[in-house]
Amino acid sequence: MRRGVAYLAGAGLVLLAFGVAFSTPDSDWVEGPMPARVQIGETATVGDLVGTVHDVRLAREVEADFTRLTTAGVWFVADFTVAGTTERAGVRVDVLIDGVQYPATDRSDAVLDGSTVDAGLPRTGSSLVELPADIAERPGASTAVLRISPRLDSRLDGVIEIVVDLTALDVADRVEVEAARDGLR
Amino acid sequence: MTFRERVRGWLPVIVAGGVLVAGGLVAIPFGGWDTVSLVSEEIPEQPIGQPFVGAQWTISIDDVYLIHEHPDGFTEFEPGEAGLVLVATMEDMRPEPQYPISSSSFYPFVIDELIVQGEYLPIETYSTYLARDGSFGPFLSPGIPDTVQFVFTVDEAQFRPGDEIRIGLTDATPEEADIVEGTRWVDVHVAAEVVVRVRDER
Repeated sequence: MRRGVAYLAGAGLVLLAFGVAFSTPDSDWVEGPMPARVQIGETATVGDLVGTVHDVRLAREVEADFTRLTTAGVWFVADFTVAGTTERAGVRVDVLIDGVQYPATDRSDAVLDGSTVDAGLPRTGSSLVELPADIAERPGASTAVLRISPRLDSRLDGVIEIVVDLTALDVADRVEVEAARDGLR
Repeated sequence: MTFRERVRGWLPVIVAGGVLVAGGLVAIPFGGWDTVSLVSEEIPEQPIGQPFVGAQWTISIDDVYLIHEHPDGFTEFEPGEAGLVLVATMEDMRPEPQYPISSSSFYPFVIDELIVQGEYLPIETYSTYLARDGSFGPFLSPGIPDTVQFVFTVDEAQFRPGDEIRIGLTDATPEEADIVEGTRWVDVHVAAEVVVRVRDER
């Protein structure tokens, strides 16, 4: 009888170990950023940033402040205005699609990504993200997430997010973007 | 021989099997099992321009040549030095952006006495450019193949036009890191070799 109880208790502990192992949230879940999800045209205020995404586009080629930018993929262009809320903050832009991170390019000085914004002093401009040429056919393309973060490491940070349906966007041959500047749109 | 006697004869095997099965099951929640894949010691040759698909990069070596004027327009090679340019088309196979060459994980290719796995490659001895527009120090995004030019400062005596060099294309297995967050690479090895003759671009 006591031996039976011991076997049962042992099996129960092993099952418990399985339960603990497979129910412990991973670090992405525990330390993930805290997003404010808004629509295009809506203003989000979260953490160190306040911002509004005005438009998103896809293009094969971009002319950014007289610099021609080509890609083996396709450009995702986001036009937005952003400012700091309480202190100087950075501006980092990524597009996240099905667990894959596509960062904004640093190949142009005209873009807003990589700059800093002071509290209450908005800057308006664009960010350019290279995406694979066949992105519209890839899983998750209809629920791509444009994320604007105040820092390179966005863990446990407030970030602005917009969900974008890339399959609904036409791909232009060429778009022009103006250099990032101070002020609202 | 009765069934019971037959079972008794096999009892050591049955007990050993039972212990192995129980141990295997118990091990799963405590970290699982590492598997070892057996590989041949012969390194296959990869033709120039043909992509090799690895876990970190898909890479093809397209060209190797020597230069005597640095492409950045202001760096000057010291007497007895030259630039070894390696042109490679690379596609990031990871779910995040990567720099084409970095000491932080493992080098995508190795060249004897120039790029040695596990040895730090001083950043002042090489530069990377995106071939399409000359952008300096580009990162590559996942799933977008692009051509990169690596310029290594080398001794002229080390690499001469017409020399045949062997470029080892490296691969490894990604695992979730235990101590730091992210990926750790295990079983880093040269998976293929490209044999290429050095051209003189002068």
